[in-house]
Amino acid sequence: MSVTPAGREEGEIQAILLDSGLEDDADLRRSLEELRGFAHDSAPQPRAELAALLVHGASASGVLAHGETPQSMPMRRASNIASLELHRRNRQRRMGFVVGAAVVGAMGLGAGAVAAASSEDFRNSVGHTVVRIFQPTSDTTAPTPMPTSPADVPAAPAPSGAATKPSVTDTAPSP
Amino acid sequence: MAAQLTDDELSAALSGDPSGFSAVYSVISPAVLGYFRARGVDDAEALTQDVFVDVLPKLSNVRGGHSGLRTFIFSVAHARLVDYHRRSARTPHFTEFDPLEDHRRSSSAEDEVLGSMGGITSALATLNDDQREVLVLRIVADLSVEQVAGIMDKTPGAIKQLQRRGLIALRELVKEKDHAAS
Repeated sequence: MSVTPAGREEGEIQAILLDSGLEDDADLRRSLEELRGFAHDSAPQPRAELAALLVHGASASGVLAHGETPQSMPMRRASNIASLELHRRNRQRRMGFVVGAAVVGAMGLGAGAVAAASSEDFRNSVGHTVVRIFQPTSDTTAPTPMPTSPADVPAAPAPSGAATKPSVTDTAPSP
Repeated sequence: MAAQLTDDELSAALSGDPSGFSAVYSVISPAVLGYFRARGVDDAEALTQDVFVDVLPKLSNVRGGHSGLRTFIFSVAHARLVDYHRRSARTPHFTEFDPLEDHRRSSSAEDEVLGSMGGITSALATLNDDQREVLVLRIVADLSVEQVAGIMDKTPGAIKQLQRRGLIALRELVKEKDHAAS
């Protein structure tokens, strides 16, 4: 038995024509035989993944991981899919936190703006705070130099002439 | 004439034996390739290989002998073709518009591809999609009415009707072409 028994093709086309009551149409039969010619190409050259299957069978290294059975392959694929799904959910959760924080921050700013617009005291206190922050330089005293230890102060250069030249008054006149 | 799959090769393939896989591939892949080419797939070889990478590890689940094997493989091929056409429809090609180069008619892009191939494919391009699918599955894939009905999720009666209408339309086109040529 075979998938394509010898001599069946013409019979098949004839049977198809007969089914539709068109068995006498020679032109149509020729067209169908031309269509049938599409099935007569050679098998495509298999690429790596398919070649591994054809050489090693269902336990092909390209298809199954080392030591994996064909039965466990769907489980591996499922676990890969599950890990991707988990990753996607975690990312969505993080995005949720970020968006939530942004919304809360924006609401806080909005509430602050409303308070500023409605309360005179609030505006005054904010204005005062801003003034204190940005105008301290005029009120503060000039910075005092930090006290330094004597060791850090460079020694004043000694007058070299006084030290080296002998005093006239100190010397006794020779008799 | 296409090669034939023996019972031993079928048994080997169903038990996951590489020799059986090779036999199935060498016997049935030309028909799958022809099916995709007749339906206007631009990279028919790649899609054929995708089908076999998908089906070969699952052959142990196939029932129904030679007929069941062929039905299973072409079921996957049919599903791949449907995906391919959906994907093609979703990815339009952007080109600069030139009125002189604008040959658009009421036919689809798939029809234009088929029409550009000449011969029977240009005639097939004028049929509607179901009629074309039935004729290609019946003639190129070498499937029975019942097998095609199972793949296309229709009744055998509906498949016969589509086949008949497709053949009548094809006959008219062949006659028109002959008249135009003479």
